[in-house]
Amino acid sequence: MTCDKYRSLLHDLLDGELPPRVARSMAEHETHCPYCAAFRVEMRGMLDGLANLDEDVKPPEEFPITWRQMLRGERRPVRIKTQGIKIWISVAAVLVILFGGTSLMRAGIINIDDDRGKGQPGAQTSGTSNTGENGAGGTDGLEAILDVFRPAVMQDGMKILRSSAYEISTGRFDEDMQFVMTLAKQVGGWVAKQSVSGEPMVGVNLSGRVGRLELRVPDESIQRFLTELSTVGKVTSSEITADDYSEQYREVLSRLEGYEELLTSHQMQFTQSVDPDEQYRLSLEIVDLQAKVDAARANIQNWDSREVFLQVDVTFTESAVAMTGGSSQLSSRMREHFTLSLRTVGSYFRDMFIFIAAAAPWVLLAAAMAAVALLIERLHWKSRQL
Amino acid sequence: MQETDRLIRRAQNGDMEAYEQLIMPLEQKVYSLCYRITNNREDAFDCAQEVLLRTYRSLGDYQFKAAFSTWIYRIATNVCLDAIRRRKTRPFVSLESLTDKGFPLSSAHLGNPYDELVRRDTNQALKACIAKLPLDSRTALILRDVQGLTYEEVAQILKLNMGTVKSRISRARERLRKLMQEYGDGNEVEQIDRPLVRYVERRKPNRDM
Repeated sequence: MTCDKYRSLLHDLLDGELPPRVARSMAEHETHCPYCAAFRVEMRGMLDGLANLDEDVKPPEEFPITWRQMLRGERRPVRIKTQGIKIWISVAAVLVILFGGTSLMRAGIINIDDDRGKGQPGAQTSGTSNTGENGAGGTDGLEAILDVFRPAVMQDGMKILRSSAYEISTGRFDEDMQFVMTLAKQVGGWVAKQSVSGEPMVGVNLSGRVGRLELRVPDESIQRFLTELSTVGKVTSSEITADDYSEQYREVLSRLEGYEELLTSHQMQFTQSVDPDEQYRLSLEIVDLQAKVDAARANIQNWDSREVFLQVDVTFTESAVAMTGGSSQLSSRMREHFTLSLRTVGSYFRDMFIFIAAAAPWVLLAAAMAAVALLIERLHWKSRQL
Repeated sequence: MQETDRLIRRAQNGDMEAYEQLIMPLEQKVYSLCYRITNNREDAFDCAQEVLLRTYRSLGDYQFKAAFSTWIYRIATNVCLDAIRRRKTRPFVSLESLTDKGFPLSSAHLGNPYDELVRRDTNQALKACIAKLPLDSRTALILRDVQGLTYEEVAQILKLNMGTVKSRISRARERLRKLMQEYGDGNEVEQIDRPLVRYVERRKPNRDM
């Protein structure tokens, strides 16, 4: 053992932290190196001196009295449960990420599903109609369904006309019908047709009235309209259809062109003709052609309009159950809203699971990166210690 | 240990007598630690008092992870270091001027007068030399070699890793040894104690016999 090695190990020897084998080797070094031996004795003496240095240090007599007197003026110690706070902060952070992420996903701000531009992963339904007890929930994801009914790529001259039909059972027949008509106007649409048949449900008349509304609702407001509509009465049936009018459209269009050409040529012939009989025949044909052109134009306009303004047919049935009294009507509406909220909550949590599934790989990636960073930090720290 | 924990819990709930019981075995150690770090009786008095009050106030933060003594030493170290930083502008009162003035020797050491004088001589030199060490080395050395704490405890108190603490203490010891050599080579001790030591040395019994 060299003197340098001896000196480097000396502090561990003095602290009694060396294995016996190394200590023996150092003792052996001392036998032929009086300098190191003297150095150790000197160091040992110094450490013994340090260990006994303050044995005789005592606080002044007044010290215990003074601090105890001051202690009496202190208030009870405040317990700060930092551990608990940390846990709650972690829980709150996880909840904020979960609920925030899910809400952003549902609002369409985060798009985890590139195939459909809407953040409604759970709404991919294959059915075209809902009938019966699912009632109000029938509108869940209707916009997505309407999208399904829209061709991904609209070719030139292609006419896909979508429409939906609702049957609503209501105890407040007049108010609800009025409400739906106002609603259609509010969202930028209009009422195309309105009819009411039957007698009001009074006394022994239990059949009630049936009201029909044909509405046009702008494409961009359809989601809002259907959502509001689902709060009216009890939706007993809902149906969505997308019909391909392309062929009829093209046919009517070409017919219109033909009629228009014929009309122009007839009109020219009429002005050029001098024969009254001929003029009479032509005038009859012109009137007939004009009617045909108008009808074809009306058709075309109707179809063009229905592409922008969707047709929504709503049939109201005056409900006997809902008429039996205020309290049962109230409970029925309460049940409806409870079911609606329950479905919303259900769909929210379903979306949350989808969000968790979508976020899981990113969380794992972040955890792996954190682990690697921690490992590097540990290795760096160990190398510094060596 | 369970008894200590019980006392801590009582003290955490505002039981001052339990706190006094808890502090009793540590009171002198806290004072001497403060005295050794600050090098000054007045500061040691104020700091030790502040430590004991601050410890009581902060009892709610104690989590039973480290030993209570380690925790209180950490508070003491912080209080003393803060006091020294604040004191920087004030004139420094050297330890030498205080020796022999207020620290009676315990009767256990009143044996052989020669040994006692040598011990006092060494003590005086050590105290003077420790005061010359840089503050961080001095604090680590005092905690380890004067207070007798383990390296692990020192590391916890100073919030450093073990490697840093070990190397800091080794360096402090080497530096202290050099200072002691310089001190012994002819300086203040001559003026105070050396003549007395020489007088006793002339009359000392033959120690080899």
